[in-house]
Amino acid sequence: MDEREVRGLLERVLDGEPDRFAPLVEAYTPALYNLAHKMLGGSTEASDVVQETFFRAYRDLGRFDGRTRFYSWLCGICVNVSYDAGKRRRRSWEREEPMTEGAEERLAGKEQNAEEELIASQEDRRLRGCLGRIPLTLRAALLLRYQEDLSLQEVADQLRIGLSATKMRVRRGLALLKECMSRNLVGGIR
Amino acid sequence: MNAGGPPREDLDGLDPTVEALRGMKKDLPPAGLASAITSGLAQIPPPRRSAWRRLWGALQRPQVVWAYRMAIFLVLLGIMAGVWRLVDRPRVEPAGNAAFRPGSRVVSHSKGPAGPMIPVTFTFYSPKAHSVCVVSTFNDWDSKKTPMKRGKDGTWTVQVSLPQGRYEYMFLVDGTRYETDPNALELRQDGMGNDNAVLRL
Repeated sequence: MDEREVRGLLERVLDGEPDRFAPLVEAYTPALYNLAHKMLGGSTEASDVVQETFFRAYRDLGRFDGRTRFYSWLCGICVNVSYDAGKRRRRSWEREEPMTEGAEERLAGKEQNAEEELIASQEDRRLRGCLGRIPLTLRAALLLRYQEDLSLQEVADQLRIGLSATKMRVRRGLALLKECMSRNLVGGIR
Repeated sequence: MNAGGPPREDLDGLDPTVEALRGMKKDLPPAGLASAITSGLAQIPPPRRSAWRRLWGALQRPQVVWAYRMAIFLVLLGIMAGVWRLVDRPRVEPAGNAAFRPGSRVVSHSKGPAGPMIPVTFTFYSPKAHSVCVVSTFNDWDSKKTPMKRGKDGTWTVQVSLPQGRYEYMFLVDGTRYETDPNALELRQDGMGNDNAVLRL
């Protein structure tokens, strides 16, 4: 769906045709699910994140200023919702058991094990494992840039940080990922 | 990978980690997720444009665009009219120099029909003066021969009939002060520091 078509639909939604939002949900659900899934590594949570992303986008559509692509804007919301979900998950872990060093990574590893049956490629599995171990902010920058194919400026806009900070996050994320891949680390990276 | 500096977008493709990230298998949503989300949206009030965007949209309507273009034109017209009035307004008459009135449309003298005697009207603007008379070569510089009458607007006038010729004249204000006609076409120095106006008929 090209951006002109998207803008046309958004105008119609704002002009009182809410049904016109459905094609956008249909078009962007797979990409947002992919982003949320890789951000959190949990299929059920990813669905909730995508749903919340669309709810927020729909509610705040009047505030979309059109300076970025609509898809890029959605990715920004998705990342924020993923952050919130990540925090909630962390809090629930803390309630259940005191957080010990490496606990988060071990849990991420368990989730990764659940994924393993579905993922054919060994390389893909290793990459997912490492991606799950790098900090969420770096993970978001890498996924927006290389999975969702946003430009660095778009990533910066959606993460609400400067272009230099975005480049630093991408560089740092890539360095950690590369280190993890090369050492095939079992533990976490801090 | 350019590990020494920030990542360069044009070199991303050379980095195997970047390639691996780009090539990661896409995770597909469970069937029916999009439909479930669409159904859930029905519970949310339909979105509306923000007040600012509604205002901006209203301002973009063609009728409104023409209205404010016209308003801008009228404002500019008003400014130009104001500037014109400011430029065109006569200067305030300096105190103590009643004869000086640049830009005034007072005619100092006018010719009548051709003949042996030509009627000439002298006018002089001096609202503060108590008396003004014309002293000239045609009345031997006698201040009593050609007194002028004051009009309501402060303009003094007198009409005389003169034969063709060349005359020099001054206005005598309050019997003491000689003033040169500010609208005279020709002047001649009198040798005592004054300029006599010259009238040719």
